[in-house]
Amino acid sequence: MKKVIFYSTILVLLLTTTALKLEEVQCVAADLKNELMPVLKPEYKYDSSKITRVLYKKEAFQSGIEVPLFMGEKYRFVFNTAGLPKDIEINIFDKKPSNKMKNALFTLSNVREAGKNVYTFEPEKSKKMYVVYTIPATEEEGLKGCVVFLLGYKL
Amino acid sequence: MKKKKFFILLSSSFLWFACESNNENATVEAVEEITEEVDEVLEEESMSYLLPSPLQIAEIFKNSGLTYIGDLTSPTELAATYNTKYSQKLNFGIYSADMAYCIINDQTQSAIEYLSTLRGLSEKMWMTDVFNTMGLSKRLEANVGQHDSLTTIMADLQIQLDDYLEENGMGYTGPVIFAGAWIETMYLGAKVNQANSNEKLIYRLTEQSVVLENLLKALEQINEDNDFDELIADLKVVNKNFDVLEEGEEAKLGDEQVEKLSIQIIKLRNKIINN
Repeated sequence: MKKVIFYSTILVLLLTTTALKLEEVQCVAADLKNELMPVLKPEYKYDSSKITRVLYKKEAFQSGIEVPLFMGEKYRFVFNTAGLPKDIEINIFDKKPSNKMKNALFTLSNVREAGKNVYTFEPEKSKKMYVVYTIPATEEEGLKGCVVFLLGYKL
Repeated sequence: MKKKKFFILLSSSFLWFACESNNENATVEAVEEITEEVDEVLEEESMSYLLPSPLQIAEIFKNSGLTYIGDLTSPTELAATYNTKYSQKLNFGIYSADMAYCIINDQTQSAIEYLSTLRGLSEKMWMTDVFNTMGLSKRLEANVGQHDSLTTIMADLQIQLDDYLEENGMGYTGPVIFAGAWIETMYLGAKVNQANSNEKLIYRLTEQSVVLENLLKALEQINEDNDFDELIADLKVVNKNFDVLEEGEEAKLGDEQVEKLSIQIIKLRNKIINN
């Protein structure tokens, strides 16, 4: 009986720590997206969204989103990084990422706060913009997560 | 001895977990340095293309003079004739845009008819959950005449559709549905402009070149099996009209160019709805 209790305790312990570990990297996109809805309302209306699944690699890499905006309208960009096991950088540029004349209008590392996962950006001028995610290198195998981006508009 | 083993295992498990958390903190500090090291020339395949909601485009057109003309929208009876997945997706987009057009013009009864048609099409496409969970008809009926509430309901439908496509791994369907919606919204804009020419509306029609650019790229990304060759070719013909535009925020098509664009959009839209 003592043996059963001993091994059961070990099993529960290992399962718990594994579950905690898995929870860290789990990405329930719909939940993460729902967390962002109140950040838009009541001023901004939902326009569109993009869930970017991230599979970390041994080398750092980038992934981008082209965002068309219409002149004279107001927009709010909202990001949720809670589904990421390791922090990434987020930049928003006014020109194509390959353009040397581009300006960074938003840089996550400039506004990052410990324990905070939701960040917003409201461009002063509406024109096509480029969201660029920079994913750092990792030696950990199969490390993955997601970042959720929501766009709201106000006419 | 057993107790000792137990405590060693217990300590190891928590230490392992604690170490993982500390590694994360270290990553926070390192990520800025790494960003500078990465080659910032993004490959095309690493880019994705956001497509705006048909509601936003319709609202912008409306604010620029898009009036309501009753018989412009696609007849709901045609829905029964769409028997391929391709025609169903495209016309789902067409009817979504028509519903948005009705909602922004407070034509609630017509909007409800389009909702019913969309529900029928979604069943054919095995997308029943998009409409079943929301009680949309009831919400529309309960908010007749309340413009803001009606547009909020339409925005909720967009959220629901985006979630459904994402959760069911149907991301490739989104650009095709959007193509139908975009073509229909442009069609409505072109027809209203033909009936009553309006500088603001022409400017907004011209501005859609940035959306078409994104739409073409998004369609090309999902065209691995060449299923969308014809649609892409047709949209490229439309896109040629924007080649005359010079770089600049105030760029606007001339009267002849708008007429040429309108004729091509009307032809493409009629081709899609007549299957």
